[in-house]
Amino acid sequence: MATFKTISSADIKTTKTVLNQLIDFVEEDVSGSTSRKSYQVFVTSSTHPDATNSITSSLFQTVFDQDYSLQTANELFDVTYGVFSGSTSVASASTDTDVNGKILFTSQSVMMREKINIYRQFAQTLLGNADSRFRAPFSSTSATDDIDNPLFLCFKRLFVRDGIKRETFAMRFFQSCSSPIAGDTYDNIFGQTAAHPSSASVIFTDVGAASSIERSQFGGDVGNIVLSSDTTQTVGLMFYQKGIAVLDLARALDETQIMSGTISSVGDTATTTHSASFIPNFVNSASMDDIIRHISTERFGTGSNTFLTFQNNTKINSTLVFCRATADEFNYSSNPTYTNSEGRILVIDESQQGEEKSFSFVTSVGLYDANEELLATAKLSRPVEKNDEKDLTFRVRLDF
Amino acid sequence: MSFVKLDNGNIEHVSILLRPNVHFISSSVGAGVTGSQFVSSVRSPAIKQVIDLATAQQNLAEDVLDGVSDVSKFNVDNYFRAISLKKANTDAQAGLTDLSKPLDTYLGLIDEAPKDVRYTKQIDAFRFDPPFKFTKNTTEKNVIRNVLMPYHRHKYENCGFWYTNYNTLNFFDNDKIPSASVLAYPSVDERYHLPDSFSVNMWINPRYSSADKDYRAGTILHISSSICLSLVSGSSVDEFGAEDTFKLLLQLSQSADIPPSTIDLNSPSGTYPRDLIFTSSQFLKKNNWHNILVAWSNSTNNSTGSIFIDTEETLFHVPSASVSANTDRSPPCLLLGNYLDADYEGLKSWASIVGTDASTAEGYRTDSGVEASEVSTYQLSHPLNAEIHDVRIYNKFINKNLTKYKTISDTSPASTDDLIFYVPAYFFPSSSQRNVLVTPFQEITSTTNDPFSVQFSFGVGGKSLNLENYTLDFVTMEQPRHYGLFPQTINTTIQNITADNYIYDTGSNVKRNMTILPNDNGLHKPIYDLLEKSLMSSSAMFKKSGRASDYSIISLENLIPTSSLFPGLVFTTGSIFDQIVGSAPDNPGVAPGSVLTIAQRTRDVSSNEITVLDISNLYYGSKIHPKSFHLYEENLTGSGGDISVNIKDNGRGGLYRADCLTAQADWNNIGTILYEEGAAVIKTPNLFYYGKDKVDMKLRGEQQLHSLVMNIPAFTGFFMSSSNKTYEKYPPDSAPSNENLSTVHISTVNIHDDNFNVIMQANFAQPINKTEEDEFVIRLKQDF
Repeated sequence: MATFKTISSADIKTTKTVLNQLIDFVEEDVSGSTSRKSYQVFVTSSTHPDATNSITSSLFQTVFDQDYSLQTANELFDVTYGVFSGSTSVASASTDTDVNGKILFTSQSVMMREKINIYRQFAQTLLGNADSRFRAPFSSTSATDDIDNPLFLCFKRLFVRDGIKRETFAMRFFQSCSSPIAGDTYDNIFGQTAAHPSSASVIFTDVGAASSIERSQFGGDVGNIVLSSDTTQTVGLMFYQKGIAVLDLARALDETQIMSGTISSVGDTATTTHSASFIPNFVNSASMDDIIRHISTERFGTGSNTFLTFQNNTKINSTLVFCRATADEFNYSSNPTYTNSEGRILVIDESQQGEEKSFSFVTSVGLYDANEELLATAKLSRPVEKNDEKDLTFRVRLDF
Repeated sequence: MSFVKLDNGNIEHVSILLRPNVHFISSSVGAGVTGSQFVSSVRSPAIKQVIDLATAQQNLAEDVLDGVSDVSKFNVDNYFRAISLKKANTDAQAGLTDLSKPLDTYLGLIDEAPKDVRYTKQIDAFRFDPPFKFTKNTTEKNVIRNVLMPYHRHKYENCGFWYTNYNTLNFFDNDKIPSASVLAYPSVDERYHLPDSFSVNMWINPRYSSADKDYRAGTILHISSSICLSLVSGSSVDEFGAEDTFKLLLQLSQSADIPPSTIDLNSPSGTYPRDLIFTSSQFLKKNNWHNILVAWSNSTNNSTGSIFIDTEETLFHVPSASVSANTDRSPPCLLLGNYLDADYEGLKSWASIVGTDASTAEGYRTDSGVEASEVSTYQLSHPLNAEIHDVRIYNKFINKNLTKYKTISDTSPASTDDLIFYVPAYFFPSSSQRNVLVTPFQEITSTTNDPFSVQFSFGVGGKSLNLENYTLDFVTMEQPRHYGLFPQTINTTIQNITADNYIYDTGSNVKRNMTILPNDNGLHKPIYDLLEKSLMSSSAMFKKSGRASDYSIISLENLIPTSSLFPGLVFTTGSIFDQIVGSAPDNPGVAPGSVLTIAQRTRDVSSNEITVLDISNLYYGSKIHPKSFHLYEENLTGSGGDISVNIKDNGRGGLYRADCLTAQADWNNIGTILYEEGAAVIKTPNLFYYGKDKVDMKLRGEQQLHSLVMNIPAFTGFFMSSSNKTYEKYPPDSAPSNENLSTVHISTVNIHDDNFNVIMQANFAQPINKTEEDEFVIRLKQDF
């Protein structure tokens, strides 16, 4: 350290660069019971005299990239389901509304108010109003574009970083699951797809959404998720900055397919047999855990293949400070070892004193504020010689 | 919105010391590396690298055009993945509505994308031996020795380039090393003729036994027709089937000429000549240090002698005036570590062990005219399997039951009064003249004053212990013959051999190098008066850098004079260099030159017979927790699996051997660990190649976690309105008693600086309700 030089605003430049990562979510992570964590914190029951059981269920589940009991496991995304309070699903199941405005349901419709509240919470976060309704395309006003039975996929910030990169999202999805064979007993809610194979999967994507990107005041940029084989069919929304995908289950899968199997019940038995359409029957009758489990195990596949991918953005903000050392500057050092006790520069032969010009080796650049307090230090990987024949500019970069 | 001024009374500073456990194993002979630390704390297999289309195209083109017929599937996949996404985008822009094919290809190839480098990048704990050429490891050694050790010296004991002079004589055998070896101390002028009153005293640790082979009696000390003291099985085994208790077998006078392995331990004593055979009533335990004492006198206790194992005594009776051989046929030597199977009439065999024919070459003094003849292998077939040290023979009867003798073995003797033999196994910086190995093919006649052969080490990178400097009898100040342990040069034509090949392919060399090990006996405290009073008291080997003599240490600095180096020889390779230095690690077959090769290359004349462990702070955080460092070598290189060595740190920056089950000598410094630097150096040359094949390391780290806790009071009557434009006053519930109260929902706490800039913000998982009557404290915590 020897000399101060004032840095003007002309010497400072700010830049922004974007880095991308490719995100690869694997089928078995979402379908596996050890990598998908449920939080059994919500207990639902009924006041009906025959309803002697209660259901303990999550409000959402979290998918990990490996066994979630391992310390190295990372959360990939949360998955949950919601229903709009004004939907036909709710209307078909509700029996009344009490004086406080609480919607009442029969004991066969499970966790309905929680499903409604989930919807309201996402609406509040992404649309700015809990009473608002998701529609796909986002700005559509048509009732046919309503999303009343959405599946929410909330990707974790570790993977979303500063946002999902547009037109990189793709997700493989089984629109139907096992189909019944006459006279056969089967379960297409939780398995047996090998015996009764489902239809081939489809791909949902936001490719092509760039031309129709819209902006939510609260949720940031929004793109449409469409069916890749027919991009005119919109099946959901992607909130890029929030890292949340909203899939309309009514359009994403075969809502009329009969779902047969056993689900949790608050009736006189802990489980009950279900055999009715996906919407509204199954989503109304099943607990959150049962719905999420069904979608996770039956709709994304169970192998080691990729079922969902996107690229993320990481924004690097940089400040570049150009520190120029002109020919006559910084050629001397105040390091005490630079000179001897007589003030002679040690590296210049005594006989050459006054003849040979001083030179220095620059090892560090210190940045000071107006009060000459050191704010930052930049270290060079190796010393750089500075003499009166060199005009050097040190570019100091600060990344945030 | 309200503001509350916070001062120091509202702020707590909390620090938590974390101590993570680490177990790292790096094995070149087993399961590879386990326990490596990742560079990135957050890793996920779901994060992969994006290879854009331009890069993928370029990589594929280079792959196709590189002249190799195979085109990497990796590059093909990267290209197709990128082009598929591009095509889907292009199709979408063109108005096509079916994007399923390119997206199906894209999605199918995501799995093949390269993982993010942070997912796999690991840093291992790094072990190295100083190299033969100047490399970054040379620099690392120099930095530790010249910078870090002096910097930390005020804090840690023995933090310098020396080690403690506290060693054991290690005797072991297996099928890879010769059993016919022994330390033979010539009884010049009958100096080891056993007197009529005598006491034999030493520390012994029965270290070795195995379920794989029968335990054979091993002789500790043998003087023909006088005394034979052996270690025999105690007839119990441990959970692995290996002997875990042992007894002492004592043979006196004519009975000392009976091979110990032929004695029936159930009924050892018989009729003449087997009438003077005794066993101890007490046991020695495996891997325990025991002090043993055998004492007898024709004038004490009616010729009743004692065998002491620690404080337990076994009596024996020898109704004789003497137990030694007749003086006219006094045996020519005293043996340590084996039994010579030659009877009283076989004195020629005894003589040949210390014959004059080898005395000049091997540097021992013997009586003139001692005849030479062959000693066959079967005659030395009772190798000891134990470590011993502080071997003494007194010319008087010592009764450990007497108070004055109870602690006789706790420390070394300060003088040799009353002793006729004393081998403490100290390093002594002088030896007799003998043939000293300089390359596998050549030797010089010289004395040695270093722990190992410096010519062999600095010349060709070989490891050869100067055993002669450790086995001195401090009564006679003479060394024994190291029978079966003396290195012989290669006198045949052989190619492509290194010094290590020569040493580790020759059983006698291996056994020689392992005959001295660091001592872990904490029941004994060495004192070094004999070294201080010796003629070598001013030796530089006893001096820490720039200080007065310290006889408890052995210096590893300046092992060869720097003046021997060629200052103008700036090359480290090339024809000129080769002509000057002669033999080198990569070419040990030529004659040594005028300077030692490795020293000339590195300009470093301190010991290279060290082992350095460089541990990244990823393993420990801010420092290694003192007293947590543990190294384990399950098979010391060359030992055939017999010798395993544990090394621990003593919490004061020192490393010590920690194998025995009795008190361990944690002050016996064989290495240094710098807790803050993550550097450990095993300095002793008595553990050549420690951890070479496998590093098994355990430690605990130390990492401070600092937390700032702010207690923010929400007083009664404060925080009772919101500046949110949607704010409306309403009671907390419908209870009539609360109808006059209003509620705010606190969802966020902002921390401001003096200028009211927001510098921190905390959002609650769910809003907190507060009425005018409520009062509580919000605790915010920030970990750093």
